[in-house]
Amino acid sequence: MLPFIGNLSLIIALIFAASAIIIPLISQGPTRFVGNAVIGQFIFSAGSLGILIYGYIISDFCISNVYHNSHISKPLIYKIAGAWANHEGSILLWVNLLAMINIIFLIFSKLDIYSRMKILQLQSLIFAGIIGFIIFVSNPFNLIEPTPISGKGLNPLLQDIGLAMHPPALYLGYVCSSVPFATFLWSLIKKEFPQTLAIHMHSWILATWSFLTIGIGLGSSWAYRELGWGGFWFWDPVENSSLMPWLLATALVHSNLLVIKRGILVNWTILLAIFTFLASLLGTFLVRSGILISVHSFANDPKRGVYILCYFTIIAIISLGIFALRSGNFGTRKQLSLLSQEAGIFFNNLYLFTLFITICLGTIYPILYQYISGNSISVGEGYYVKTFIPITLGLLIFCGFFSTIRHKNNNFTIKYLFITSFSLVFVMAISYQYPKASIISYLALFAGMFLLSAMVLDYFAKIEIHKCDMTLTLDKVKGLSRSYNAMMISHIGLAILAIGITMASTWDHEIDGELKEGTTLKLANYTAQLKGLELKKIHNYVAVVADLYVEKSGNEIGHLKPEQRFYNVEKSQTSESAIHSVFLEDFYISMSEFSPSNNSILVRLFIRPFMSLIWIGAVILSFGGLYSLLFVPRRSL
Amino acid sequence: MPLNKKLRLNFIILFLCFFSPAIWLILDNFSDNIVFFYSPTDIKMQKISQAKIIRIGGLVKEGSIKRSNLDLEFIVTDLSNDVKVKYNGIAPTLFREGQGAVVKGKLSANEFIASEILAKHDENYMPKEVADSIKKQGQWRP
Repeated sequence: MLPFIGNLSLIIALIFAASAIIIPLISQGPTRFVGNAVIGQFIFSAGSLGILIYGYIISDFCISNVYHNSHISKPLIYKIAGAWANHEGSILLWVNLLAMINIIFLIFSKLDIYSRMKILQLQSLIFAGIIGFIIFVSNPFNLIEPTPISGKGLNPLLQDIGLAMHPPALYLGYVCSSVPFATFLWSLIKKEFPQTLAIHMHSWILATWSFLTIGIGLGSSWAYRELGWGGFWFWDPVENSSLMPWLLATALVHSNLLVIKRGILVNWTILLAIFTFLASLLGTFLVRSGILISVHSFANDPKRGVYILCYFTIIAIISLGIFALRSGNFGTRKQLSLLSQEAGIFFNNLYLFTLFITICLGTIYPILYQYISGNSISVGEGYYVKTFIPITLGLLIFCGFFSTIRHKNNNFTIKYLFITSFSLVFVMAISYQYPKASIISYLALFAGMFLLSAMVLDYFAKIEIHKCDMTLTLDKVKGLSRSYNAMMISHIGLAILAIGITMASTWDHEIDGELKEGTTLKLANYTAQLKGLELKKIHNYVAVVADLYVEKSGNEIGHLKPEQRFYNVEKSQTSESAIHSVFLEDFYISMSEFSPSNNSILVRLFIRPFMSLIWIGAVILSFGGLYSLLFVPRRSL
Repeated sequence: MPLNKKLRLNFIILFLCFFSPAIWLILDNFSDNIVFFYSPTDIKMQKISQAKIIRIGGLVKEGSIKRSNLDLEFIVTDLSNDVKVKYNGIAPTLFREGQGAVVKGKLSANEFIASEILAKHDENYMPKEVADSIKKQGQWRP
């Protein structure tokens, strides 16, 4: 019964989408019908997701999807989140979020009704393609006969709170990028690009960027806690495919500001919006089609690959075709001073686009290569380290330089000399404490510090802190424009993130070892002693919990308890790391290979200095985006 | 107002100064970092340089895992041919006998010295490349 209702609901949603596309083409003039159809799309796609989740909650194993990915003994939270832990369910989540933001756009957008309907018509086209994909080749409501008594369970790696948060946040970012995409396409079709359009779209661009940032950050912290390798970024193709739209969205946030302020770079901004959405589609489907081999990828079905490829090609040809035919119409040509914030945005876009190309090449090339030659290749981490990082360092320095540049500034040289020398002193101080690293690490620290100090100095100058007048300073703080604050917050977050990543990945060290009860393992000034092993039965797994007593330079840190979990249903195991995190460094233990015969375990100890800076930086960075989205007044949806 | 020609030229020059090192970086590093994948049969049939880092994959042969402290030794098979693999360190949790595995490292005389064991699987715990190479040998029994 459930699968039938679920399927019916999907088909009704498709009918609503099809009518939203077709009926305005037949009948003349502006019609409110599209709006109603969009509401229908939302209700019925939400209905089918609700039914799938309900199927998971009551463990209805006649649904093949539930049988393959769930089990009665699974905790409730993973039954709910388990609905999108597989290919079919995740696409259903994607399409639901798309329907949801269409409703938000319908209700809150300040565009005229005719434009809104036309844009939603385009959105319905995107929606219809995906819902068709769900119904015809990736149906989550397929039946299994006879109904199994018990399910196969969910990959234990996915049984983590990250599953409940990371995919929805990332997908929200992906689908938000469809609104500027459709809106700018509409402006191309209409051959007019009013300045207000860029203002309207800025909220959506910010939403795209903020949710992508949050999604990537959550994914990274999940990998750090769960994968047991102590790493936070692996240059895995799937991670890269979420980084691609993020880089483009970052460029778009900046270039759209130029459109708003100066009316320049209009065509480029439209193209970026198109690319961002295409990269979002690629990000979703590269992961979900099984083309990529990674921890994220699901079983491959050639029919799906073909459908997705066709869908992607159609969207790409339509959008880029319209752009090619119509883009000549817009844009004013104005003078741009080379030493101005506007010029800075120009460079920002160059940098980010280059980074995008770098990642794109490394991610797409192996797929193309395999299709052409049949041999499987992968691009090693070394490629990204040697290309992405040096280019990023330039970006950071340019960012620090251009976002603090002022027109009315006579002590220009002194200011940047001061920032440069301050950053140099910082790097020297660090190199005293943390010697023996490659030149690129010190350069990265310099770049991060350059950005940070440039931003902070600029802020201090703005609030006139040097006058040592508390009331004046407070007045100045209140008087700062909110868009300036947002820029300040995000750039400071970026600087902190860059410094954190450099510290944590340069001066990390690790050791692997075998521990028996009472024996100790040393890493730098840490010692870990195995006090005992304990067997625990929890929910749907059995865990061996190691009790490790940790000391640092003879001072007690406490007991850290990493686990190895055995999932009986899935016949699989995971390791849960234990992390002692203070501001200065993370001490990380993961265990594996508990051997019952001699009561020993293998452990890996990790030290990652300033790991917390990465999370702090990421939080500040995304907060800047959300702050701008929610509190900067001039915007409307 | 037409864009000042001199300014435009400045931008183009800056653009080139900026882009050419980036492109040089990308091209210079790209080919060096491509890692090829081989099945145990490929290793037997082809001459593969011992200097290059490669990935090999297959099933971990039942009963082949030998461990002493941190030294790990096992056999990777595509059910037609075998390769002996040596590794020092902790294997990922999903690494088990009878399961698919992909290892990265270098070939030496007649064994493979692994620097990394990749435990990236789909929901059926089978790396796609391993499945493909076993299918190629006609030994696929899902």
